[in-house]
Amino acid sequence: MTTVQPRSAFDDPITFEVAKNALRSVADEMAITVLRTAHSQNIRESMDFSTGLCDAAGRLIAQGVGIPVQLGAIPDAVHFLLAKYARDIYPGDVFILNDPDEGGMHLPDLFVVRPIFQGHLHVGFAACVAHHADIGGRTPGGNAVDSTDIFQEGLQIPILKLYEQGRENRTLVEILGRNVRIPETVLGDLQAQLAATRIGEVGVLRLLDRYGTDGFANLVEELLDYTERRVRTELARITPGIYSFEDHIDTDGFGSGPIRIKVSLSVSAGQLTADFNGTSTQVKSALNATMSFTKSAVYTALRCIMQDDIPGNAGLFRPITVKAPIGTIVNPTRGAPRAARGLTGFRVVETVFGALHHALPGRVPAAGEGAATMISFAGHYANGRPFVYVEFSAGGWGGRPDRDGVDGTSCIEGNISNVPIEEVELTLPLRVEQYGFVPDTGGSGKWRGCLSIVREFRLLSGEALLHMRSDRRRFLPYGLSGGHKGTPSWNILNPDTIEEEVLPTHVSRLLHAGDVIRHVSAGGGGFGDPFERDPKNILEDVLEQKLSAEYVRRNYGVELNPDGTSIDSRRTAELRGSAQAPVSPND
Amino acid sequence: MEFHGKRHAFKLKERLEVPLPDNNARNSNQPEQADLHKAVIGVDIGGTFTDVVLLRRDGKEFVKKKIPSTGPRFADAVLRGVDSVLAEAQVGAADVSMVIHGTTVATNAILEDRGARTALVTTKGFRDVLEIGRLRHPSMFDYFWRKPKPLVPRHLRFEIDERSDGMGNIDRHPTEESVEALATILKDRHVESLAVCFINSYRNHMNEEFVVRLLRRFCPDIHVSASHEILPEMREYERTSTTVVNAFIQPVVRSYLADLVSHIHERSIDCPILIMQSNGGLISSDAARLKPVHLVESGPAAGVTAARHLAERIGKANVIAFDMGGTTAKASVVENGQTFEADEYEVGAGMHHQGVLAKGGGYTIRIPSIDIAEVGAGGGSIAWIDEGGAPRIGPHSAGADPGPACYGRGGTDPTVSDACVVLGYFSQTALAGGAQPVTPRYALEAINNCIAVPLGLDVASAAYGIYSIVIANMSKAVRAITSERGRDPRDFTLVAFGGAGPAHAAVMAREFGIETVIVPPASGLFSSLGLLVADLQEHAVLSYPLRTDFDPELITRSFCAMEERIARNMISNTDEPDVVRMERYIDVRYVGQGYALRIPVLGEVADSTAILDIRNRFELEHGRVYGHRGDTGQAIEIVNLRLRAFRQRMVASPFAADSGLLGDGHAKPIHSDPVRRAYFGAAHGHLDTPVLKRTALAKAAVTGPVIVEDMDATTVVPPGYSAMLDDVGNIVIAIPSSGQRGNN
Repeated sequence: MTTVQPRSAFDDPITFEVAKNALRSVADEMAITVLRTAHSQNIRESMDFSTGLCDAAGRLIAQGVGIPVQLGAIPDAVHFLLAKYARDIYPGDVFILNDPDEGGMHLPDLFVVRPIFQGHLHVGFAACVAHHADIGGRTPGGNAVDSTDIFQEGLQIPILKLYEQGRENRTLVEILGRNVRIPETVLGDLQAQLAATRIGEVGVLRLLDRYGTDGFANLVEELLDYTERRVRTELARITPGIYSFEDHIDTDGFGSGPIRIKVSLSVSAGQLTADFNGTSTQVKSALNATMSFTKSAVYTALRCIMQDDIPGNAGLFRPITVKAPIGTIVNPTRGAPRAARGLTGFRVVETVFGALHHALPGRVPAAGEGAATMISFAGHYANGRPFVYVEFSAGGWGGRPDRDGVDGTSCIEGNISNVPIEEVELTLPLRVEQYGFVPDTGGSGKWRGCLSIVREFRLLSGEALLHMRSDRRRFLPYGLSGGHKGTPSWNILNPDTIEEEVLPTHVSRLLHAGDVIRHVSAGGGGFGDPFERDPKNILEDVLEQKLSAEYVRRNYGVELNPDGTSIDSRRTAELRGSAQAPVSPND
Repeated sequence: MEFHGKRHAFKLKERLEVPLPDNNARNSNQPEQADLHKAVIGVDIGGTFTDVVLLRRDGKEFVKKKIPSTGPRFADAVLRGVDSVLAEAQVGAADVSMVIHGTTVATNAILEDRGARTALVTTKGFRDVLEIGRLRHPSMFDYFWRKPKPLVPRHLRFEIDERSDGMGNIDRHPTEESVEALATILKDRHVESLAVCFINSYRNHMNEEFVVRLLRRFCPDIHVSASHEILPEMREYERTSTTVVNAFIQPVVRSYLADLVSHIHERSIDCPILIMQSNGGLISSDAARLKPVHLVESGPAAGVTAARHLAERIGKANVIAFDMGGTTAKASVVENGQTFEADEYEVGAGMHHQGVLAKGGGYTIRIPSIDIAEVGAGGGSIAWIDEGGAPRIGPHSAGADPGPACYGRGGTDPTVSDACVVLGYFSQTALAGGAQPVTPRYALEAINNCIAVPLGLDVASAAYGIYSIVIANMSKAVRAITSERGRDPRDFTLVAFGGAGPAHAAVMAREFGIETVIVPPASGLFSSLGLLVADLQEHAVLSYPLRTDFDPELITRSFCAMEERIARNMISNTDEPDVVRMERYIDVRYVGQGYALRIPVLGEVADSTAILDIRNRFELEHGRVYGHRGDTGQAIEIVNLRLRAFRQRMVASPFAADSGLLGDGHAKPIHSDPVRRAYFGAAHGHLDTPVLKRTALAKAAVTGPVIVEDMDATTVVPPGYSAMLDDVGNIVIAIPSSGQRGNN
């Protein structure tokens, strides 16, 4: 890759700044359209979708606010599309795909790509990817970990035309509708995606009108160059060298594990290569990622160490190379099952963070809850109509170099919402029995990791198929700079009864009316030596009933006075002076 | 006589007029001649200035005062202003018929963390719903984000063993003993205010009501905010958070209002005192004390209300209210004479033009407020060069201290105001009616050093660049409330106000293909005019979850019950003539969708024809907002029934030729050059530009370049644009066509 010489000024810096904002607004407008018109809870409440604009060559030129970790997905999809349909793209065409071996990620993610034409000139693409509530296959929701090939995972859609010169491909729509369990929801969400790409098309044409075809093309070149320059400036802050880290997923759900994720970051002169050599081979279950998802995860982690106003476009990718041997869990061979790849991608982000901690101390947090958990219920209402409910459970963040991890927030790479309890109870035969923090969890540290969150469902009537994907029971969220590891996640069937049963991290189970399933999310890792934690912060945690007096004595060497509202300084000094940090940190 | 009996005439068809509950002998539509000497006072308290305005009911006398605000002793400035307007208008205290107030007290109590020691009582198992929130964080890649601290700490969040299900059936009743025990704890912990929110209480509030009644009995000194009274809508986090915000600010707002009322009464002004709500409607100060969460956007709402009134006064159905001040720019639309409401808002989240996309940055309140988009761009916004070499404006602001470089108070960062000075738009000697001296040299140096030299531009181009970029940034706010809501900005007239709005509006309007910009007189205190003309407004909602059967009889019965209740609530102790009007709405969505569209109900819901009409209008609106309609026969469902009740005041307009609005009062005359060199971009270069006072503008159009200087704002009319004065003193700028029209 050649180094671009920074220019002292653009031809027209003012117009550039104006156009940069306008382009971003178009992509955001697309995202708002999806949010307001989507049907499934996962899209409209959890916001599990992304929007983007590409130029005619398939280069990403703007990304809407959505899920960060889908950053690299749209350009790969469009590249496959261009390779397949080079001379067969016409006004009025709209493409659809989900095939992981042809630009897709996992089957529930449907991509809708609308080519944009100015008259007869092809000028770009408006694209939207969204995680649908069902895609057929052997398990409702299509997220099962325990599928062993892609044919079990649902309907595969290679890159096809959903609209051909304005005419809907009825065959395709009918096949799609017939192969999913909840066709109204899936086709409704597809409409939302189509509407978003139409909004994107209108927005790009408006800009072309304003700046002219050549003017717009120049602006795009400058925008990508500008982004690249800013990324190189950021990367140049890192001392050149090779930084490695490894983390693990407990198991593939078939008894095989641990699964190693290993990355080496080579940094030199404003460039970075992330090499996943040494990562475990692909697994039998559906935890396999795609290369596009692995790349997205790397970009996401790197974006977090940069200033957050850098635009998301192809210029961002230029100074960054991602390598992974074919046949590993982060770059599997054709036909591998991939439905549960989210867990692997999120672990890739955390692994890259671990390596960056050495490259840029003080810039990355300890591992958080990890966004590992997916819970789905599938069954039938009393009237026989089927329901599928999918929810992604979030916890919080690991301790940070200068402050605690956030209790109760989505992981940075996912940024999903929870589903309101009242919405669940109004629309499903489920009750949420509790939703809250679990005291005395999370990793201790000068800056502590987030608390675990407990979320507990009861099936009210009939039967339902439960499916859970989770992790972080054996390999806990890592601490950094002397901070302790986090605490494990748990899945418990019928807790606090004589039938109580601890379920594995990955599980499918038929539930009967009255059954309760409790999920406790992992607590985040701590940052820094717990004995350096300011006793004032510890007292606040105790007063807030997030940590108990007994726990802080053991983990932080802090003794409270018997009134429980003030610190016994003398005893605290003794405890902290004599003892070692009680658990060996893993940094 | 300026009297507008036909306000909202375009809404007549939707009107459902009901008799006043306590209708007296007066014919509502005919004010008595004897009352016309009476006057209404508007009081708008801001951080820097307190604006007090007075309008006599016959519209023949308008007086305005800008008084420096007096901080926590806010009433001092109010009383000075009130005394002064009464004296100048020669109106006696006994003849003041109404005092109307717009306030930032509710917002500031939250932003400055000055609320009460608040506790929350919730259902067993859900103590942390308030703190967990909806999990999203507002910025995509910022790992150093701080989550807003919950307004109720965990140790003051208590659980009661009770439960109802999603259908409203009660599974467990709370016991009186558990509430009594809780009451003791609340008193022990010195709780000052209390929020109660139970799971599914939006559907059946029996348990919640039981507990609230007991707590009010056991703890008579603690104000209790009940979620089913504040927001009976589904979604436990949003309902809890809204109720908690209400409880948090209630004691502060209560004592503030009591203070204000007693001071005003001290002046023997013994009339109703009304408060502006976030939705632009007024409520009594008594009602405001109970539901202060409705006041959070009180200040900005007044400006949009003023714009709506002005639009009607000059016969424009569609306007964009554009308010640019020192640190932020705000935009809002008035369409067919109506303002638009947003259902949800985050207090303290900073800029919210991204609205639904960037959630989690503040305290959620789900209360109708005028839909206002805001961006961090104002006269004080700082220009800088980023690491990629691109020029940027804001979000940092030079604030009031040191202020822009041209103020000469030590500021070295170039600001938008500095650019306006360098460009020759702003006075080269003083701003704010002479109160703020200006040194152009400092502005020139700041822009040259920080922008022009690094970019290799001359200083005029750099200043013009700042001017252009800030306009582009502000256009995000305009886009957020027009094109992102499916509206074409070209169908609107732009009304520009605030200290900096009139200097930037014309060029911004051209970006959107808007044809006309209006700069109203007294644009610096335009918001306070909104207080004078606002109506009383109450709002009720009935959660009506997921009903697809659309039973006309049930719908009608539900609406009637709401109307009876709300009519009882609306205060009527004013002697102003008025008319009560009810508007019915149904929130409708396709089955399975997350967001509903609000569809007005026209006339009675008598039969299936009315239902079909609702369906048709829902589909039309869906197509308009989202670009597609559902399949024929796709099921739709009702989410909520809503009622808006207006007590419509039949008042005169301050925007009348004989009201005195155009006068500058006793302000010092402005000394300015009759002609200035001003720069209008590479196409025009530097031009000799006449500098006029507003009153010197003719009724015939003057062609730009022209600069119009008012006491508190400067209007820029670039070359090729033309300006004239209309009969109420507005500057009307005609925008030349941009020559390109997009196909949207």
